[in-house]
Amino acid sequence: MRLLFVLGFWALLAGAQAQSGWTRAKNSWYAKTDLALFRSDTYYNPAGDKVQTAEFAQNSVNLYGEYGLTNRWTALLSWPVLRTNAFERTETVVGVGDLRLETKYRFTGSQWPVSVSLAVEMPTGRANALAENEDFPGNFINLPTGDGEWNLWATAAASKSFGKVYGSLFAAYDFRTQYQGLAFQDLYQFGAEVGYNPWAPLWLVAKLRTQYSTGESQHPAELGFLRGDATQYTAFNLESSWRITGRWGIALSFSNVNDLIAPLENLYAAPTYTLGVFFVQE
Amino acid sequence: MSFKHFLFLMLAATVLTFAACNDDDDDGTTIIDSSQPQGQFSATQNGTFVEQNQTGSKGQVQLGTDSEGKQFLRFGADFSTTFATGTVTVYLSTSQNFVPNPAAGNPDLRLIGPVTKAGENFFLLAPPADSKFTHVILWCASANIPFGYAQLQ
Repeated sequence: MRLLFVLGFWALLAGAQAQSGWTRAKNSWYAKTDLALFRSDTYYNPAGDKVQTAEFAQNSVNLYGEYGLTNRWTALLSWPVLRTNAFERTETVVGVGDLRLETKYRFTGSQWPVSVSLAVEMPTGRANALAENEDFPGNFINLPTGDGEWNLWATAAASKSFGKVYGSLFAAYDFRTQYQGLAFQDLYQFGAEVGYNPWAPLWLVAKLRTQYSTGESQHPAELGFLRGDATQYTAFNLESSWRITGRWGIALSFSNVNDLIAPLENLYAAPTYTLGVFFVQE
Repeated sequence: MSFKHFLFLMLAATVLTFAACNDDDDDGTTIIDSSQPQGQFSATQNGTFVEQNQTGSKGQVQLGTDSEGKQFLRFGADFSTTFATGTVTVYLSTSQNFVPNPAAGNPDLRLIGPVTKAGENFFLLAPPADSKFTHVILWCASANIPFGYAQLQ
């Protein structure tokens, strides 16, 4: 129940980072690991109706990295290396999530950076993970840790800095494929980001992202609730990152969804809290 | 009697014993699956599943008895729902809503059991269902959400 179960939720995290026009300097890199905590008993079904369910919890340990291949060309990696899913009265299933590898190229100078990136998201997660109900032995629910399909993301982004403030805009298209011969609907996103640097080691960032589906799920029973087919939402994120030393820092973020722009359909809605540690080599 | 003759006689006796046991399979005994209706199934009430939460639930449902008077709930050959999410549990209910009340013994619900496949399914009701139950509910127990319901008429 990406209901999801589950469902629907990893779409929120996928592609949530690095949507800017900038690329890393050659041979520089950035690495981050974080813990994301999410729990919700509010599911918006594919018709957009709010449904009260048992509480669903998902915790993830994520790895994220960027490396400057050249001054204009950056390689990126994003991978939930540990994910747990459970409803309040089921056992907890554990697995890795889907690995995303991305390459980004900047076409313009660093004053008005515009970039295009391509990412492939591989079905490295558990496409099926059955959790037994503690009250009804022999009663199972499927809580996959990956959506079971290959995705190809294409993203265009532009950024501009104004002293201590920067802004970014992006648009992305997700070419979804199929699971066991059943085709997914493609997705597309629009988003904006504003960052503020009030003090040298501190960044405050606000992000807004909308996701739309190219159509209703053609296989709602098999793909909709379970694998996030045709999931739509408006998500916002508030993040602070603090460079404690020259290279090490911590990041805190809060994100949630609403129907401010795109409707809430086929996903669980609740805040996600994230605590991360990052390392920068410049 | 030599040892070879003794071994031969023992072997022959063993073979005859097993052969005699096998004869029991041909004595006309028929194993009855008591979970399935015997003879003609006669429906007394009918209903049609109404889908909830885009789970694809559909098909006919009947309450009736077999030729021995045992009561069964029958899902028609056109029955389907989503099994990709896991176990779907069947309940009889006094309404289309799942209203648990475990402290009072769940008077508005009767657990029938899991349904694991699309198409025709029979569920033996022993003891027979109380007349207060007017609906069949398809329920995902772990998520606490309905997959569909049918009113029996």
